[in-house]
Amino acid sequence: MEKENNYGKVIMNDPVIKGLISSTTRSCYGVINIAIKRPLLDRVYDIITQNQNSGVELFKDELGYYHVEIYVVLQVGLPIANVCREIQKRIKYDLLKYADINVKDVSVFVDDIRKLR
Amino acid sequence: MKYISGEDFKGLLEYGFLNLMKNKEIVDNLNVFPVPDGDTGTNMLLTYRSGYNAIKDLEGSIGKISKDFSKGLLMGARGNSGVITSQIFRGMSSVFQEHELVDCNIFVEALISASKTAYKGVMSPVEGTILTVIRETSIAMKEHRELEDFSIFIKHLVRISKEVLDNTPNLLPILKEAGVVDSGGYGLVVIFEGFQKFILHEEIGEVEPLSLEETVQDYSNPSEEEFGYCTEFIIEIDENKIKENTFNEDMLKQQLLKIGDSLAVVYDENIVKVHVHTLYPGQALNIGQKYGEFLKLKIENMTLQHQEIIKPATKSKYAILSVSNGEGIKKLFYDLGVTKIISGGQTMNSSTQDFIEKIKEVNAENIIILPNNSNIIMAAEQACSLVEDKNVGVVKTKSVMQALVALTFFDEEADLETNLEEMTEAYRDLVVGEVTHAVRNTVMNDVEIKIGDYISITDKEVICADKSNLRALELLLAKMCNENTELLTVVYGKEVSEDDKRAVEEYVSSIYPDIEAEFHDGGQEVYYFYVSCE
Repeated sequence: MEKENNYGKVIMNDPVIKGLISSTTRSCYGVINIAIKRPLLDRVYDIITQNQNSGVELFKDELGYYHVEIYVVLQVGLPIANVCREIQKRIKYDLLKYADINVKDVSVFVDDIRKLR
Repeated sequence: MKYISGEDFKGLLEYGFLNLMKNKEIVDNLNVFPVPDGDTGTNMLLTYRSGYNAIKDLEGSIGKISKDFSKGLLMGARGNSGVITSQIFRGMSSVFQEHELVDCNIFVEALISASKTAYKGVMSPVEGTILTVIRETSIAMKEHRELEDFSIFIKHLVRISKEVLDNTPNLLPILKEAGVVDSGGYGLVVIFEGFQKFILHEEIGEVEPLSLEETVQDYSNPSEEEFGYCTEFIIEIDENKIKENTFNEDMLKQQLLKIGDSLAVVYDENIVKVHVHTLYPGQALNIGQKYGEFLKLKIENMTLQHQEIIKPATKSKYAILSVSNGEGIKKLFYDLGVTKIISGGQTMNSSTQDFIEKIKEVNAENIIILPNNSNIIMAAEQACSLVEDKNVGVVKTKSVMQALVALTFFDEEADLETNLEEMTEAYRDLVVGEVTHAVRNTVMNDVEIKIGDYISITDKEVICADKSNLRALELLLAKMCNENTELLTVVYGKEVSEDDKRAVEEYVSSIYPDIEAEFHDGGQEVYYFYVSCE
């Protein structure tokens, strides 16, 4: 992620942006966890390196737009479509606010629904 | 009053509803977290209304009323605050369920359960929100569980929840920065206040009827639509009908997918909500009716709406796109030759995507964009670099006034480069200013500003703040005009009265007799006057 302004360049690593997305998502109402979409070996690696962003994907397409994909586990008994809409809205807003990135779309994959506690 | 019955609870909920309706706009305006889009009040009200409609004509025990109410809330939940509200009442209803009558002790239990249920929905809750309000209130209310009189109990409830609400800015810095309390929490307190008004037989006062159209959420992007009719219906499963056709959610989905797409089916106990885009809405309804009777129906022709937007036109040499809000300004722009207006303004920044869509819509070789706001010049330039089959250029106008001047220098015969240069050159010596109102108390450039004051801005600096909008304009003109000024243009905003307009015209002609002055009705929001001098 690279941006240039009058003073010079700003470069943000992908994990930074993913971390931002991840923490925003975790504080959304209805989200129990971010799903792990990785093979076992990678998961072990994630645990060792304390990587919490494995369910977050960030792409840049050929036109230069950013796309976010996020895999989540939601609480049972909530209106799922509604909760997901809020997640999309917040990720889009927070990225613009904190990282000045205008993402084209945010895709939410509901991996599972579970009961917390 | 020691106990409340189902009938009383219904009254409580009704007054909660009326009070929320009355205070909707205040709640909307407090909305700064998590996304400051000013819809908390609207979302809460629409959610609450859906719950209220479910119990409006219902009689029975408090358990039944609260159960149906919470179900209604869940069915109509909109937005974050709506979802949380539905969870709060769901928690309460789980306690009320076994009871015919409820005393203070049980009500406290219900509040605790409400708080627990609401917190179940989130992994890392942010404090200083509606969640905090319900939790702290439920804890503090434990002290009052022995009370005999329910009206005193409700008074304590309102007092305590207000105290908790007032503390939210200390927990969430973003609220403190904006100088507000949490909007969702405020909404909840408003509902509690409604309860109190019912118990004490107070009047709610005049309530404006709800003018919002009931909209169902978008499940897809309609611009990418191929199918003709957006069809939505809610059916109540009929026991007799499903004896012949057993109901199966997957089967219903498969049948509907054969005739349409963008399908969403929500199934809850005995109610099914369906949203589908199809060319044959009749067939979709037939499929639905096999299982039960319709509670609600809505069919819209999307092909028609879509075609109106994408009418083809002959290819012209130039097209000019301009960003603006306000009807009058749009009309001014059209008069000056702008092809298409991109809606946007101070509070509503247009995105790169908006620009690209409009660029695609116009049929011209060369396209000139006037962003009219420093915040969106970047977006416009980015859009330029992404469009390949058309020549697009941006004149970096930072305000509507600059654009108006730039447009007068547009030459249909000249090439794009020359036009961009000429138009940019046109507003180089232009001095622009605005008069708007302050939204919070602050001090800028040694000017003390209070909420509701009219403030004058030129060159991004606040010059003065005054109680009168005319006085603010006079001070602004004094700063902007000098002996070299030849032409003065004033564009009136939406809220400027006819009397004020006359006063401004008289003032200008008497104080600045040597300057040629022009006045236009812009109809823009937020800004009372746009002023330019050249």
